[in-house]
Amino acid sequence: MRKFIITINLIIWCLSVKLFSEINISASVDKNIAALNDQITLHVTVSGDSTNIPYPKIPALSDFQIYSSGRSQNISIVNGRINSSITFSYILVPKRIGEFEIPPITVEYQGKIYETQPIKIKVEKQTTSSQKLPLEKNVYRGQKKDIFIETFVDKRKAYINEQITLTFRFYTKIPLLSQPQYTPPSTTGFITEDLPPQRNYYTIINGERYYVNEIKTALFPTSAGKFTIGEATIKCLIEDFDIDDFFSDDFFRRFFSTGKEIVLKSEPIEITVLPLPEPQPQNFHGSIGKYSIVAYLDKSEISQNETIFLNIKITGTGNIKSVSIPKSFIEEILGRNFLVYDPIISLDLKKENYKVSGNKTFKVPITPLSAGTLIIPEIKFIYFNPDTSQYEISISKPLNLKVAPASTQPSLAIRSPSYLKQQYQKIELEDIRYIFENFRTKKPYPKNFLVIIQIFPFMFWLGIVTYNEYKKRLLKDIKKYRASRAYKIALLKLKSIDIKDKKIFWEKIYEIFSDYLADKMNLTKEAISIDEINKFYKNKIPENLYKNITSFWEEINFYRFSPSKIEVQNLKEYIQKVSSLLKTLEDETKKI
Amino acid sequence: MKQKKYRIIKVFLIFLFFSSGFALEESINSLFKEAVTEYKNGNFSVSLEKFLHIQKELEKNKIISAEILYNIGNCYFKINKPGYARFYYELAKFYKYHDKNINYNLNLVKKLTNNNQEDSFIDQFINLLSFNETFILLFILNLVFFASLVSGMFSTSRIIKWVKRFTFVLFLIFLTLAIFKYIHDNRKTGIVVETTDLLSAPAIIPQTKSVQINEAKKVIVLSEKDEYYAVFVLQDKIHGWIKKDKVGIIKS
Repeated sequence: MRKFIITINLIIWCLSVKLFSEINISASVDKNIAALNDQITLHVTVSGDSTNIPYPKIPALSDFQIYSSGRSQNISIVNGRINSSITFSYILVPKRIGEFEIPPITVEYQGKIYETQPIKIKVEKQTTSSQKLPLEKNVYRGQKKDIFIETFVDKRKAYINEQITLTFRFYTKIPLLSQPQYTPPSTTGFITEDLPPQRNYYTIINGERYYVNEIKTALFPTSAGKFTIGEATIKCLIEDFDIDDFFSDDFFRRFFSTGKEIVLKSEPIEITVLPLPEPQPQNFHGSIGKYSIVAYLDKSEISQNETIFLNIKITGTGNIKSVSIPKSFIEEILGRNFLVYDPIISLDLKKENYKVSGNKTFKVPITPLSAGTLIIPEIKFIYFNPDTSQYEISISKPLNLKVAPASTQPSLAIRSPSYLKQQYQKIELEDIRYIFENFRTKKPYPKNFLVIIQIFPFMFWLGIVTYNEYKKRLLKDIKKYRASRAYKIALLKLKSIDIKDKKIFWEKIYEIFSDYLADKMNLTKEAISIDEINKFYKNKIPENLYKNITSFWEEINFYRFSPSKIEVQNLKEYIQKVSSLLKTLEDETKKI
Repeated sequence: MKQKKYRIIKVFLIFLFFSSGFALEESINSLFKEAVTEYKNGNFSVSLEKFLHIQKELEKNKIISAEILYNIGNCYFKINKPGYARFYYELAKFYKYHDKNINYNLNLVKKLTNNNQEDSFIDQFINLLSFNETFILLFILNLVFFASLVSGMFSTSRIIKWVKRFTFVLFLIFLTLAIFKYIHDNRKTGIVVETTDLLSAPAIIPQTKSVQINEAKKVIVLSEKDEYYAVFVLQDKIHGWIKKDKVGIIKS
């Protein structure tokens, strides 16, 4: 019974799936108003609960050129039901001005025909901004009212390797909340060359002042055919309120808003690349532009087997980077009189007025194989000039080279040109020196150290001069000089006293004190007596200090002649006493 | 007990410090040998990677090696990047001023890239000696001159008088040279490592002119603004703005 119910359910489910399987078709364009030669993207979406979605039938559109630009598929399975949708994209390029209609696009599924609504398209000379509609939320193609981008090229038809200048412009009249992020368009099929600098300026469009960022790029097609320059994108943050609507909530929300991110996309641009006219002349190496050739030698006289540079300089406008002169071509021109080596190429590129130009120098090392006056014939440089659509020629002047017979044998072996039968020729060529196979490390010391130390000899000299001057001044006034040094000398002598020998100790103490007093009074040591002390210090220093000095003088004179009266242990204290007495005396003497 | 513990930890830390140093030296030495082998086998890109790795390690430890810098320059030369090659040769020359190999390769790169007329006669004269040599020589003369001055204070010898006069003249000459050298070496200079555009203003200012500047050119950096340096191209004697990432600074 249970099995039967399940089977019935399955049959009903399958039938319902079959019965209700529906197909939907819709079509939309990115813009209803377009300019002539503009591109309109047509999206046809076919969806249904089937994995086998049929292709739509695009009706004949005689007013447009139509190209398929791919498809995208989306499949989802929800509760066992398959939902599938495929979006087919087409690029329509209007052929003429006027109002046109894209007739209903049909799709046939299980014998039933489904169709879209017709779409009206107006083709004008120039599009108006207001009719360009956003593709999806916050994604805008072409113009938005306050902020928009555009890309355009200076020519839509060009020869291979001819310069096409792509200009990208970003217009804004509203403040941006972030640095705009620019994604350049895809340029498959082209060699690109930046054309700096980026220009920024103001412009007036319909009475409105816009700030414009302009970036230019040079494109050089690599092969013939139709190529599309993809869409350029700008992502930026703008304020999400309308300044005109002052009393709306939006206006007040601005204080709390972090802005709205918008994405601006430019229109893809189709370029037709023309092949170079046939037949191509002999010795044409693919150079496109307008060029001139100059050839010169480093020296006009050399000896046989010596190497010199033949400089071939190509100057002109065009993709100078791609200009080439094959070695075999030079070998052919120079003939059997020279050995030719790989050229060293230097390039000087200029982009003045957004035109790629410059010069390319081929420094070709050549070695004369015979002596005498050799002639380097004229070099014919053939290029295709896209302005005249013709192959043109620039010819260098022939050069004379005087070659003296060889005197020495060169050293380094190098392969000779292929057309010469000889296997190797000996010649000197420059190469870099070999790498170090050992290494040493060191710590770098501060660079300014050597600068700073320059001051030391001067400082040393200055110190000595100053000291000398000071000493000279002191010696002029000997009394002052002796008095100033007395205390220092006394202290030094006190420190060096030997307390073990009592006899010497008292003698030393006497000497120190008498020397001190002698220096202060500007007398000889022997002339110091109570009378002299009295003369010098009486009524000039405090009375008790004066008494201390005289009693100390008498005391040391006494101990000088009877040293056993005092214990060794006390000698240290005695030195302290002398030291403090001298200090007090020095302080008081300074006041005199 | 506590002190003993600390001592053990101390010894362990010292051991760790030295052993890590030795390990680093070992790894650098083996990497250097590998890099040299790769260079000999003609695998210049692989060799370059290894030398650059060594250089990074040395930089981390604030050590320099002129030989490593020179070898990096050689690898760049071999893979046809003369701008980077010159940049590393210049750095190597900074530490080994009179090395014959460094100077030979540097001059060759300059010659091949048409940059051998960058220095004026004065510059060439100033560059005869390195910065260190100039200032060491100046210091010696400085010392002799002031020592003779001091001696002159205590002696009236004729020899000292002559030494004083002679060293004074020499000292003045070298002092002038050293001042020039100091100014010359304190200019912020760099090498254009990749061919790029020299602009007449930083891109934020509207203007139209630009000229291509080839790699391996030496420039003096005059100022900077955002991601641009205002530079003076020594060989071509022109001023302009150049993107910072296209210039390798050798002296700052």
